[in-house]
Amino acid sequence: MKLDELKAIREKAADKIAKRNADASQSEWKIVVSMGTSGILYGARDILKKILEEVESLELNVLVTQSGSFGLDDIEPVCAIYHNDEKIVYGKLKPEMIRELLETQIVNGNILTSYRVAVPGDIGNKPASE
Amino acid sequence: MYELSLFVLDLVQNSITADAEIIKIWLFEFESENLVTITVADNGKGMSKEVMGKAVDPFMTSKTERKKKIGLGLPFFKQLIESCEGKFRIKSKLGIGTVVTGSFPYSNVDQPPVGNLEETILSLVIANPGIDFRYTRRNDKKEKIFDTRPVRKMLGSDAEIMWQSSELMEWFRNELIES
Ligand SMILES: Nc1ncnc2c1ncn2[C@@H]1O[C@H](COP(=O)(O)OP(=O)(O)O)[C@@H](O)[C@H]1O
Ligand SMILES: [Mg+2]
Repeated sequence: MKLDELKAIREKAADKIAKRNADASQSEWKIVVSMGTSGILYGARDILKKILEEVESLELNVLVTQSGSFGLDDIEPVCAIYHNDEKIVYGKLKPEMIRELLETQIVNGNILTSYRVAVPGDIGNKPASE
Repeated sequence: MYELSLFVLDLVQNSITADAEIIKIWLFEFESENLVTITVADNGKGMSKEVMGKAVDPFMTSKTERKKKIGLGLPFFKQLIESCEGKFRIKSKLGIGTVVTGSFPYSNVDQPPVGNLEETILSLVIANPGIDFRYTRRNDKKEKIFDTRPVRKMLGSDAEIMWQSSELMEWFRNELIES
């Protein structure tokens, strides 16, 4: 492994992170992809990959991570987007819809209602819409 | 799900859910010995004999208990391995960790394709900034090892916050896929 390259990377990344942290308008977002067996069966691996790619290409300040099953097997693949104390769940995801989802939800701060799933615990607190 | 790499992802998610701090993945493909072995090992919370019995055979019943399904990932993997004349093994100890292994003949006709294992591991590494991964792929001719621990050591206390920076992701990609 080319560990010596990491020094330069560290400096560059530290610079960017310091700038980003100084910008108060950049708030905390987190995306969690449900990666249980059924999620994987319905394509959650490609959804996670696409989210990572689009977050990078849109230069968003978002932590992207994965978890075990959300228990929403009939609408996999599923992800939850967290912003401060809010949680919004999106289901039946396809790689083609990820960019629109990130632009609408994170860049513009609007809920993309067409893909949104109201589940207990998300900000709508409505029963599951299935 | 007919790709070994998707099963690896499923096994690794079990390790993540079990709060593993380090997850090790080995893929050995030895034509000379007619053997393929895939192993996922973690230092997560492990499981009791009882849970393990149920996990491997989810429809196991006792007289007093109704059928209880606790998950299909492990039975699914076991079935895949056994369907290609292979051997499934699992070892676990509470508080120590878990090792899951599948091995099968190299030349089996029913053998699943490995699929995009390096891409899968790349996403796992990036999406889990707090977990260390060690990945080894070996065949008769060569060996490839990827380990996040020296990276974390090199980056020090800033490792987690810069884990998903484009610079570091690019480096991970080069190490895992382009090399
Ligand atoms: N690596 C592991 N460490 C600890 N416990 C595990 C591990 N893998 C599986 N288990 C236990 O076995 C159960 C069944 O696993 P699995 O068949 O993958 O189904 P699921 O992940 O959907 O529960 C898990 O719920 C967990 O209790
Ligand atoms: Mg599982």
